[in-house]
Amino acid sequence: MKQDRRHFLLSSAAMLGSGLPGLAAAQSGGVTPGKPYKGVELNVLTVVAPQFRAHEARLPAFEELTGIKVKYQYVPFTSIRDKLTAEMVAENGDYDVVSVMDIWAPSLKNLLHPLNEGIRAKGIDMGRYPDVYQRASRSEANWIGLPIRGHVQLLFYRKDVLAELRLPVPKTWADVVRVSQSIQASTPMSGIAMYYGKSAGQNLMVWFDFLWGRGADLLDARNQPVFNSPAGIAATQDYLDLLLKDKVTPAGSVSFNETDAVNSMAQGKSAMLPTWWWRYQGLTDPKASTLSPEKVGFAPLPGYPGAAAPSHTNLWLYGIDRFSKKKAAAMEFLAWLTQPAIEKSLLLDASQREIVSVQSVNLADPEVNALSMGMHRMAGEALSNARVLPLIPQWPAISDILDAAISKMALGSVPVKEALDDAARKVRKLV
Amino acid sequence: MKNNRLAFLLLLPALLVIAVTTVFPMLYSLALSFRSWKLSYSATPGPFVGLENYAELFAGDAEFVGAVSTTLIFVLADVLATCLVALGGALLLRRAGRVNSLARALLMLPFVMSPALIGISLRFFLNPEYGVIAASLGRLFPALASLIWLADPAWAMVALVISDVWHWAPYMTLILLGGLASVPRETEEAASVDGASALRVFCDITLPQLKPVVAVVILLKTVFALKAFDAVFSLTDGGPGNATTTLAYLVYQIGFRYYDMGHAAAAGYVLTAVMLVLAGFYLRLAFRKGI
Repeated sequence: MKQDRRHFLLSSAAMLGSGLPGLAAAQSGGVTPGKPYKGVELNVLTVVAPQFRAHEARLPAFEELTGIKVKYQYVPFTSIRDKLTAEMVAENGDYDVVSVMDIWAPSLKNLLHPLNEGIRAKGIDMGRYPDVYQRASRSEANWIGLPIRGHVQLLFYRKDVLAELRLPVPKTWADVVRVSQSIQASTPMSGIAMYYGKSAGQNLMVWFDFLWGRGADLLDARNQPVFNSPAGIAATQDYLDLLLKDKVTPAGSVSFNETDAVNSMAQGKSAMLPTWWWRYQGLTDPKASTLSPEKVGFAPLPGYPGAAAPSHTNLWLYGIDRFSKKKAAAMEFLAWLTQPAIEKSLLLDASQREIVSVQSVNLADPEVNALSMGMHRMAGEALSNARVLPLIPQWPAISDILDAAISKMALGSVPVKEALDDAARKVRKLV
Repeated sequence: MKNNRLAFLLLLPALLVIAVTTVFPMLYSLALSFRSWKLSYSATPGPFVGLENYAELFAGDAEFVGAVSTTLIFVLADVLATCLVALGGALLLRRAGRVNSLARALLMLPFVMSPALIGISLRFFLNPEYGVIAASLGRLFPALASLIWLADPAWAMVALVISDVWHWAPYMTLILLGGLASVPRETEEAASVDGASALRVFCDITLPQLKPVVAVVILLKTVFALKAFDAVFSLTDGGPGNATTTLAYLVYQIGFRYYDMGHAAAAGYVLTAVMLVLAGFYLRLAFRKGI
């Protein structure tokens, strides 16, 4: 903790010295004068992410301002939903602030405290977030959380390999096949690392982009399945053809999860990878990857020719447990933590190498973009046309049905139409 | 009488702990299995629905039926493989000696490891690009070189069984070693002197005397296999498709992914009923043989 505090003070001083007044303002922003919650201890249940560790390192400043102590408990992504559900169902209010993914929120909305009053009292302008994130933070008339961690998908590629082979950066999925085939003909690498294995819906993340790109959709206005429409079937076939027909993915892609695919590129086995932007940190981290930032380029996710397809985004919210006994102090904390200046300070902190941003002002910020080589501007543009998944209580179950269907189709043993029709039958029964 | 009262008083704290941590949750979840409770719609349990949750499971839930058959395949393969490996290990380690003593001590290592850790590690070992086991097996058996273990329903099940056998076989070996210690060596030696082969001695002399312990090992392993969850969660996530979705994993899915607590409680109690029957067998066997 001592080291964290020292690190925070040093980096704050460095940033202030380098002309970053935002952080100084952030030290007092959104906080009620007079320390009315002095001595209160808040517990935060959150998913493991470097961004949240960086938040934790900044807590001494918050404690100094408010007298509120904040304790973080981290849970890995694969277990956070179980832990969250168990804790919230127990109704004991052990955790005050909880991290919730957008698609779980409709199912858990009964256990989350509406933030409308707190947002109004703290003067938080929700317009500071992109529209798609605002939509994902609401349940009917209520704000159920504040956006804290949002992702867009990008295509990461080997700059050095494409340059050496004089290949263009793919803009369409057809380009991906052509470029991949050229790479595979000249190097031992696979073209693109995809992930079709069953793993908590990870094999759906890129499939959504194929689906939307072809003009198909998941559900109609009455929440009935339409992913098995002719366009949906064609999109799914395109998605699977990368593995089954064109064979431009590693053979293991059939069982890969997202991390396996990231490792494939990081270990130099694949030349391209469609994934969330935060993975850039791992791909270029010398401790985890054979690649340096000079070798890894990024571009918007490919689509279909002539169509600006919506891309898929996902969002983590910080909400307040309905059974928390310290809701006012929790809101004090959220108001302070979610200030754009705090986020910007993380993005500019070279020691953190943080990428994730949910605030429009930071996505467009010249300093931030200078450091990220324009990744944030690219993300901002993608977000302007991005979609979240259906925010309905049945979505987690629908996601599992589709997850199993994609995994089965990737084995090549079931025709796409048959598998999607079967999934649609199950979904109809569910909704 | 006074002694009985004292004994009861001394037991009381333990009984209270068991009541709060085991009996109450079991009764509560039993009651829940007769109620409708979809967490997505209500933070508290809903109305009493009788046997509806159970009826839905058996009548129209293809996933449940699939999970039952997957569980049966897993349990059969797992129990058989564990018992064979454990029996082989016990026979090998039966003789006294420094190496065997060390091996017996080391046997506990796989057992004390977390099953989730074993599952995650095996997932890495079987990775087709950098998995050391996948690569080694591919070198030894060229037919397996292009096999992607977790992409094939049958091989994914094999991987799941391997993971569970690796975890449990050492513990079962120790139990069987205890059983073997009570088999008089004189009877085996007498049969050998009479010209019986090693296999004959094992089948006709050793195994019959070891039967009660083997029965206990089979029963215990069956119960543990029915409960297997961590390996499925960390190694296959129930896939490919739903090929390795066991009943225990399905209960978790229904409860914690679909938030249908009433349904999950009912599915959990189907599993519990099977295990209670097996536990009854075990207790009868244990008391009859005085194990």
